[in-house]
Order: sequence, then C-alpha cells, then structure tokens
Amino acid sequence: MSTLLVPSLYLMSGICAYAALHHGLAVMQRRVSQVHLLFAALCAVVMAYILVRAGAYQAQTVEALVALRKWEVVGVCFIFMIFPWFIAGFTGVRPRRFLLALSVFWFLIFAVNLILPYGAQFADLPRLTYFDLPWGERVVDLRVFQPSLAHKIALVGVLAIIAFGVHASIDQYRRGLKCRARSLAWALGLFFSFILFNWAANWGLIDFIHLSEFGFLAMLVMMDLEMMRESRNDKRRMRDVLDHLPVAICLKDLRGRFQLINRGFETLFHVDDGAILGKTAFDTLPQEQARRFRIDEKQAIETGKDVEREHVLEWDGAPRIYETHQFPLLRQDGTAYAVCGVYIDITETRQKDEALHKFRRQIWHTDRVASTGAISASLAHEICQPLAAILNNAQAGLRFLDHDRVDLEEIREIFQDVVRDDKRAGTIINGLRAMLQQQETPYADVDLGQCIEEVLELLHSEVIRHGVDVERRLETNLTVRANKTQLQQVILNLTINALDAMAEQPAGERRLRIEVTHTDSKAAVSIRDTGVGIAEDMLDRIFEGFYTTKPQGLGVGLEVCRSIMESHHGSIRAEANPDRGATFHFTLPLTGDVAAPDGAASA
Amino acid sequence: MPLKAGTLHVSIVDDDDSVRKGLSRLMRSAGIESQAYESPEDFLAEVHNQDHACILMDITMPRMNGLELSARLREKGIALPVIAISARDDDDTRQLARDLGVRFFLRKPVDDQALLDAISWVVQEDARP
Repeated sequence: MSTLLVPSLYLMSGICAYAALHHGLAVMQRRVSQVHLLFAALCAVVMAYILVRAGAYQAQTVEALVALRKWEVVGVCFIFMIFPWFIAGFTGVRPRRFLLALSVFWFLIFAVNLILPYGAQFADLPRLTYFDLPWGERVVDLRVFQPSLAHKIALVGVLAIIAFGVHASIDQYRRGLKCRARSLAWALGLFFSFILFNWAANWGLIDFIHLSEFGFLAMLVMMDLEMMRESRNDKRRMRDVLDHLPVAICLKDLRGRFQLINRGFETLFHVDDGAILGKTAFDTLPQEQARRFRIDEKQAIETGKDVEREHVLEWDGAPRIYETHQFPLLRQDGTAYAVCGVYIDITETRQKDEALHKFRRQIWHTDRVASTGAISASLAHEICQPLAAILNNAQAGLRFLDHDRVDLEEIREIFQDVVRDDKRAGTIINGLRAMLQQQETPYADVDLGQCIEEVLELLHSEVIRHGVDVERRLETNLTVRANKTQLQQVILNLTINALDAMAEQPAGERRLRIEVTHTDSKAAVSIRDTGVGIAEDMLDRIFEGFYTTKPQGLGVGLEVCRSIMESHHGSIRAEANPDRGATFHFTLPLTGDVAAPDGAASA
Repeated sequence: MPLKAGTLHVSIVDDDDSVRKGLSRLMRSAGIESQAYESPEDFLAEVHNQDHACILMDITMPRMNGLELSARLREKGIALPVIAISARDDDDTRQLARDLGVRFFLRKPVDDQALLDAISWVVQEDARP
C-alpha cells in the first residue's frame, strides 16, 4: 500500500509554510505593503488546516477524529475570515460593513463550533469509516454525509465570499487592471470548483475524497504568482519611467557610490550604467564637478532635507544651466540610507525668464516716457521761467554797459543770477533725462524724502496748473535700497493720477498730501488726494493691467507701479478715504534689511 | 518817442522770484521805475497812484482768474492797462487774456525791445486824449 495523499499533504503544508515565511519576512523588512502580511497569515492558516486534515485522515479513534475535525473548522473559519480582507487590501475594494459582517459571521461559526460537542460539522457523533484511494491508500473518510445546520449556514458565508471576490474582480477589470482581475477570477474559480466538488462528494454524486486542501493551495499559488508578477511589472514600469524622464537621476549610497542611474544621467555625464555602479563621482566625473556634488550630498545627509543648487554643466559642448536637487532617502527612524540626485535642465526656462524680465523693463520705460510726455507742457513751463529771467538779466546787463557809469557790482550780480537760473533749468533737464533714460541704473541707497522732493520739483508747474495745494510730511534720513529712477516713476505716476483725480473738484478743494513714515524695517509713503475716489470693489483691480479712466490713457501706469514695487520687495495698495478721494500707500524695506531687490546682483 | 526817465512806473506781478528780479533789472536798465509783487492779491493790497504806467503780469499764475481780477481792478478804480506776459500760449491762456482785457500778449522769454516798445505804445495811447 503506497501512501501518496498524506505525504503530499505534508509537502503542501511545507509550501504554505515557505510562502508564509517569505511574505512575512518581506513585510518585517518593510520592503512591501501590509497586504503581504494578510497573505502571510492566510498561508499560515492554510498550512495549519492542511496539517490538521492530514492528521484527520490518519485518525485512530473517533474522539481523535472529532477533535481534529473541530480544529479543521477552526482553520476554515480563520481562512474565511482573513481571505475577504486580503481581497479588499489587494484590490482596494473595501466595503467595510460587509467585511465586518462577514468576519462576525465566521466568528459566530467558530464560536458555535467550540460550543457544540461534535463541532459545527456534525449533528451526531460520527463513525470512523474508511475510504480506499485508487492507488491502494486507506484513509479515514472525511466526507460529511449528514451536515449539521451550522454546516448549511456556513455555505451562505462561502457564497458571500465568492460573490465579493467576483465583485472585486470586476472592479479591477473595469479599472484596467486586467491581469489582476483575471488572476483573482481564476483563484475564485478554482476555489469555487473545489467547493462544488466537495459538495458533490458529500452528496455521493462523486465517489472521492474532499479536495479542499488542493483548492486552498491552488488559490494561494494563483495569488502569489499574481503578486510576484505585479512586483516585477512595477519594477519594470519604474525603470521605464526613470529612463524616460527628461531629467538625469542618480542614487548613491552614503559614501557617494552610485547605486542606480537613469538614461538621462548616462547621456548627460557620458557614463555607462554598467561601468559606473559601485564607483563614486570622483572616479567617473571631472573632479571639480564631483567635488561640488559631494558638498551638496553631504549637506543633504546632514540636514535630512533637499539641497537645491544651480550648476553650469556642459552639454554638447555648450554650457547649460541645471537646477540640481540632492535629497536623502530616509528610513522610518529618520536616518538616511541613500542620496538621490536630480539634475534638471533649466537653460531655456532661464532664457525665457530673462527675456520676460527685459520686456518688463521696456514696458516700464515706455510708461516713464508716457508719464513724462503727459507733463511735458509743465516741464516746458518750468524751463521757460529761468530762461525768461536769464534773457531779461542779460539784456539788462547789455543796457547797463551802455550807461555812462557802469556799476560793476550790478554786472556781477547779473552773472550770478544767470548762473543760478541756468542751474535751475539744468535740474529740470536732469530730472527729465533720468525719466527718459532706457538703460538700467544700479540699485543704490536712496534718500526717500529727497527722492520725493525731486519729483515734486518736476511737477511744480503741473501742480499749479491743476490748482492743487500740496502738503508734505516727509521724514528725513530714511534710506531705502532702490533704483532711483523707478522709484521716482512710481511717485510720478501716483501724483499725476492724484492731480487728475481732483480736476473736477472746485478750486480750493484740491488738496494733495504726501506723507512718509516708517516702522522698524519698512518705510511707508502715502499719497492722498481729495478727488473722485475709487469704488471699494475696484481697489485691487486697478492694479491689474489696462485699467484707466482717462480717454487717452493706456492703463498700464498702476500695473507698472505694482511690478516695480514687487521687484523692490515692497508693496502697494489703494484705499478709499472716508471723506473724499483716495490714498495710495506703498512700502519699501529700509536699507540694511534683508535681501537686495531683484536683479541687484546683476547690475 | 523815447521814454522819459523818471516818470514811468510799472507794476510787475509774477510768482517766480527769478523772473521778477530779471524784469525789475531790465526796467531799471531802461530807466523805468518798477515795483514787483508776488501775486495779484499783494498788488491789490497796496494803494496805487495813477503814476504807474501799466501792469506787467504773468497771467499763468496759480488761481488766476482774469474776470475776477479785472472786476476788482475796476472796483478799486485802477484803470491801468495790462501787458500780459505768459510762459504758456494755449486756448485757456488766450481766453484769460481776453477776460482781463490785456493790451498786449507777450510770450516768455520776453525780448527787451519788444517789451519796452509795448510799454511805450501803451503809454502813448493813454497819453492821447
């Protein structure tokens, strides 16, 4: 008599043990997800079940048989408790209430099994009968010919699990995970067919033993194969993603030795994947580059944070700008186990930024020219006055020289007055020149009060023409780091706007107040008028482009003011006055504070 | 007819320091006495005898209202002719000149001969019965 069944059962339990160990260890090393823990538990329980069955097949006494069959039910309950949760974890289909109900259901069966004297499967004490297998092996007959009520109810639970499995499988199929759906369907199919076989055996339709052990193992094998396939797939997909990313990526250990590089890295640094692994940057890249990268790597490891820096590297013989990131990969406890380097080519982006920058400056220049043009009549007036005085003085001087007695003191005074008046005209010309110039002036320390005064001088005639009273409250000795021309442009724009806003007001009701204050770190300027004012909902929108109330206006003036303020690390806002008119406030950081304004480094 | 020194007085009204100084000096170099005022209000505040030949006024001063000013001049019984000097020459300014009833409208920078000729003309006109 050859024994085939029992040894093969032991072999199968060995396979389950191995699977449980394999997946359990993987989880403990935190290399895979928690689903594998469920699978390991499932394998362990199936192993126990198979061992119990093997024992039952060899039972010598009825008592032993009853005890083993009770344990068999325990095993089955656990299998059916864990299996749905495993499906849920694996597919992401988690109907919580349903799963909890199932678990409770099987727990009840487990409890009933414990309470009943003969276990859940039998209503009565079973008899020890035997079955002869085709190859001559004789084993205890474990078929259940008189199933108990609990056994019948348990069938409902089994059907529920199968239904859930099918539902999850369809869900996966719909989501495009066709392979997984197929594997799950196969596993369920096999499981179901083995259940059917068992029933057929129980009802005497088929004259053979149960095959539930084989059924469970087939399920486990299918799921294990599927998980392995997915893991391989994931790896390949990740590799493909890495290789097709338009950036260079490398992974190094803490000593700087390369563990992984992608194709982008190969092409950027002209290295070969096979040749570089295990070597450091110093072995394979130019020394200077390797040194700089190593500095960043060390900083990343120490701080535990991403280190971002720009490097200029050569590509096809031309230097290009790269944004590099070195960041550490951290374990659960926060220590680093590797460093990842990413190199992104930003040359074109940088060029676009610079072009945009340049374009913005041109817009500012155009706005300056436009503003200056708007006050050109007043500027002409301002120059005209000193010229008129010079002409009168000079012609008077000539007349004096024709007198009998020439008073040289008078002549000297005339020349002094001519010089003074000429310089006065010169100031206006200089102010005009500053506004019209196109090239960038460097950032410098600017006295805010003086800056404002110069603008008011330029606007002297304009203010008179508009019939406006100007009140100044200027704090002295406040210096800000700014581009003087741009700052004056802002003041000019805001003041012209204020003057225009008051055009419709009756004479005597037109008041402009310019005030300078400061807090610890900021200087604040406010320009307040008594004009038509601004609607509440427009207070922000006026700074967007192309807003104007003037028929010939371009509508960029306030937008330019805002972008100039932003580039100075300042801010600007408008406020509607409680009585009448509007006030514009802008702030600037005082010198000696924080970072220099944009573009200050490249003067 | 040449201007007789010592008998002519003009009033200069201009808000710009340098211009006032220049005009006063020019008058002096031509032998004409002058008095300079910073604003029409300052001018009206003083008592004037009719010896003044005319008023040289910058009519583009702040808050300049030609009609109002000419009314107040008439009020005070001042019938002095006004020679307008202006840094601007646009429609508004011309209207202002008309409102004031100016005799001459000269643009800055004013040439000395042009100005003196204007003063001479005004004096001669007034001298005629």
